[in-house]
Amino acid sequence: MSRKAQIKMGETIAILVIFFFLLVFGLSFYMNFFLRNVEKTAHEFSELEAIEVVQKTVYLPELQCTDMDVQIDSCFDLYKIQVLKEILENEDPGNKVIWSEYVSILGRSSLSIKPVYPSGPAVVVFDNTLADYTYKPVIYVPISLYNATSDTYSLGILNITYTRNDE
Amino acid sequence: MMWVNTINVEVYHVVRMYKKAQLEMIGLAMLVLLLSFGIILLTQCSSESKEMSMVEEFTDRQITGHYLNSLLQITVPACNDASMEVLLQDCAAGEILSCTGGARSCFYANKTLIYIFEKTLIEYKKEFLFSVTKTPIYIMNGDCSAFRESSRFIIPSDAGVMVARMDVCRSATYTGFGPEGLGYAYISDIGTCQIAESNLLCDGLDIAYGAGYKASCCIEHDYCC
Repeated sequence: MSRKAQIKMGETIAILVIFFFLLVFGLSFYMNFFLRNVEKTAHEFSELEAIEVVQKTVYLPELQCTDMDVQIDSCFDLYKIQVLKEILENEDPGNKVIWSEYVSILGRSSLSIKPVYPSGPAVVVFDNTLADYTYKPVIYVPISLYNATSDTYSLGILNITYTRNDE
Repeated sequence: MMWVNTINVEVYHVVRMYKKAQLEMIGLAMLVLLLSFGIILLTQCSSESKEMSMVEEFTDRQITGHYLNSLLQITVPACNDASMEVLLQDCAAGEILSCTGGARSCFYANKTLIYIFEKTLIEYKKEFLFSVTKTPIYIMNGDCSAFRESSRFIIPSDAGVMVARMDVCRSATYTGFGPEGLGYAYISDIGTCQIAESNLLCDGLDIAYGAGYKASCCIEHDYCC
């Protein structure tokens, strides 16, 4: 009788062990799945923010070429690029009104333009990237660059780097 | 003596039952372990299968959308500052324009486009296909049989309506471009397309030469459209 009870007890303990094992395993599996979903959603938000920055940059009226006041798609004016770069660089460090305006539009990103045909040095117009980032997509957009003096178009790549730190 | 035997048999049965239960338990535990291992493996595999991110998809869309606009606008200094669009129109209409060194528009357009693609899309390891109807310009890098983002631009010309087409492709493995990948290359043969059209056999082209041949005749030579 005592042995039978011992066996029953053993069985109960074994069942409890398996039950708790399954419970712990299930919980850890769920937590893992939940955390991954959270990470995925955060990553998707970062991606959407990066895309938003690119869309804003490509259609910045202060950089776009115009013909009779009509904006030309996929085209930046070389002189406008130069002027914007100078304005941002030479702004009074104590009162960076224009800089903060661009920070509110472009956030933690950088914007540079590399002439491809004919080739030339890259021009960094705006750089507000994070040094310690966890996410840094680089998006290339082909654009034509208009030189109003020679009335010629060259090809360039608009390089937009977006940074984010989720930690 | 008889009662001793009976006890022995009972003990034997109890021990046997106990062993059987143990074995069952071990079997159950192994089953649970195997199941959990399988689930872990499955989740690992599903998380490792790489999906195309939104940013990648967006970049491809930006490339196809903006590339054609920008490419056709550019000025080619070696061809009397003609735009790429004018160069392509001239290429289709009999090559009247003359570029540096006496080179013709088709040659210069192709050379310029290859240079630009080498500095941009090929450097970014993008697989693509660029073609302009009514001209020999057909530039391909990598495998373009898989999913593609596509964009078209209509160019009016003396030779008729031309269509510039830019496809950004995505295949499982990027192999880079081989010697046959870049430069002039036709999928279809102009003679075959011409004969097929004159004999009303265009529908049979895909059967005889493979899927897409009829469409290639249309895109490349303006036959069987």
